[in-house]
Amino acid sequence: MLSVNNVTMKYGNHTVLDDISVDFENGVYGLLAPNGAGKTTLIKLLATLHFASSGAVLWNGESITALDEKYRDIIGYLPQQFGYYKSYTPTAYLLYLSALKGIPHTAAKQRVEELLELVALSDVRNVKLKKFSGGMIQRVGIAAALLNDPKVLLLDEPTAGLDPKERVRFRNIIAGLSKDRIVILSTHIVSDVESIANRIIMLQNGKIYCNETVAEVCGRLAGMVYEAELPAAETADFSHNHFVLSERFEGDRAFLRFIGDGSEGYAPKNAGLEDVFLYLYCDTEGGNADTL
Amino acid sequence: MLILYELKKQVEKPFVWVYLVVCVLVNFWALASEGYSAMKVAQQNEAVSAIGTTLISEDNATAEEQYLGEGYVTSVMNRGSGNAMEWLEFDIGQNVLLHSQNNCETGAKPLIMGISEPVFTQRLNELRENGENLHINGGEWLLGKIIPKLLICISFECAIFAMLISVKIGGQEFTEKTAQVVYSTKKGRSLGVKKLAASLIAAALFHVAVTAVSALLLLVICPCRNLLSASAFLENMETGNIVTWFPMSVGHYILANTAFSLFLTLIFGAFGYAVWGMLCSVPATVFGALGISTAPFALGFFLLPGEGLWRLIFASCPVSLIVGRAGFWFCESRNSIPIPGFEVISAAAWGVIAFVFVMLAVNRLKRVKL
Repeated sequence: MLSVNNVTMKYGNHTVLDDISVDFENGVYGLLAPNGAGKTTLIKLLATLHFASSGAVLWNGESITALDEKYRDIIGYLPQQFGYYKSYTPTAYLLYLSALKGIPHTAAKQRVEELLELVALSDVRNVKLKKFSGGMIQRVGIAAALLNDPKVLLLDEPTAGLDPKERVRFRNIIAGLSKDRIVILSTHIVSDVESIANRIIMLQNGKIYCNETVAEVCGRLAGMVYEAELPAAETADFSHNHFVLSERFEGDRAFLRFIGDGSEGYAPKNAGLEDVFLYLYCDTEGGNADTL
Repeated sequence: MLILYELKKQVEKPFVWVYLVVCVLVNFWALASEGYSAMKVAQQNEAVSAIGTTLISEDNATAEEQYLGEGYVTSVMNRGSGNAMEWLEFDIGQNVLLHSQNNCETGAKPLIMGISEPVFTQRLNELRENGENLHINGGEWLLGKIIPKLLICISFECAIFAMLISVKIGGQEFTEKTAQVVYSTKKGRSLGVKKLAASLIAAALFHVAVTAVSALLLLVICPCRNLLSASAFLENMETGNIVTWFPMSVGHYILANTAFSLFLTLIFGAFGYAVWGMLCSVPATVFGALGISTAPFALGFFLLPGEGLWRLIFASCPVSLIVGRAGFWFCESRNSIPIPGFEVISAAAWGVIAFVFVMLAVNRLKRVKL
């Protein structure tokens, strides 16, 4: 089990993570928060690229700092923007990273073949990376993170820049990998985690706002989400008086999804993770965390 | 295994091969050229074409008129050079002939020094048997060790190569943004040491390659007479006296500046600022070879913003040079022979400082913050 115990992370006087504690067991954890909320910092702490100002991260009760190489041996990390050697082929790049991960060469060759198959890059295994699209590079990154068959897989905004088809492919890969390992997926794209995450961790003001299942998170807005159909010309007034989550226009009609109390006679709707995200991280200072 | 990967990365860089070609061309020039002094005198007096060539006395009114017989020219001094007479006496004491005292006094002609062929042959044979030095013109001219000297020349190139490759490879994880991936792997944190080791191995391999090609040029293309010129290149060619304290030999300057550059490269590279290292160290080396002191660079670094460890690093630059300069003054005040290339002492100081800080840097890599 991976435990984050009372971890605080400061950059100078700025506190990014404030005394957070969370335990991770096998499954997919969606780390959901807007940009700049501290997702990447937390992921880097778990990847030993950052060190906490106070508190500790423990793997099966032992500090990951003390475990050092032993801990890094069981993690796979895909950074938000990972660099690669453009003149390398995916095979060469993955073999190099295998060496860095201490995998024997013979075993590494077999593993690389398997992973290239998994991420559907077998047919371009000898093409230089500089010719790859963003989605293909990202798949190489996933393969790189999986080289050592990690017990902890850290993915920092892995779908950024991918087209919908690539994102679905990526989600399916991750879902298949989550049975016997911890997968922590940081993102601000709700749909990336809504269907595959066992638990959603949301950060708010440097603290963990919630660590719940998708249903539990969505339940926080139960009975609060409504949809109104209005003449398009009235949307401005309506938006002024309500917390509107989304707008959709069809001709001169507008369909507005909003937070309400049911007193206006609109039919309630099932709240989605995106509704919670939008409501929680609204532009109001401090968000709407206190009202949920 | 990782060292092999790092090594492979290094030899795959196109600039490595470009630099290899440049080095071979420089060596070829050094071997095939007629030597700096000869070129200098050729500008003033076309009578002498090359150091090491046979000079035949003539009965005309040129500088060679004073020449007392046939022999090999070993050096040519600028007219009016202050130390000419001392050197002349010294040379005569070593059975060296050929001078033009009148030339020295009037300053009308270059002072040509040399050695007669019989003496030259005799001394050369002695050297081959005993490995002793032949002192000519106040400088050590180790005729018996000409080839090793050429290897030293090549070594300088290799040191520069090591510097360049270290910059490129040491900073690669930062310039290509692979640091996060690399340093989150099991062995990624200790990669800095392996990169340095791979750089040294690459430099050694490069040394062999350049030596082999240069030797080929030496044996096949260049006549043996130019061995003297090649040696003179490092020993006798003086650097430009632009902001230096006094003219130095090219060899000394390259050595001092290479040490300086290596220091910068290692430090900047290890701390993840390889681009800065490259920006600073390469010009330092180039200017150093042209004869510009490293002092302005060191002072420049001193003025750079920084605190704590950084300021200490920057401050160490001028301090080490000042220490070197003080050593020279000390030698002068005791009327002893100034240590040739006092900056070499400074460079040694750099080496010690570099070692300490590289160790600190390597240690820091283990807890790198990205």
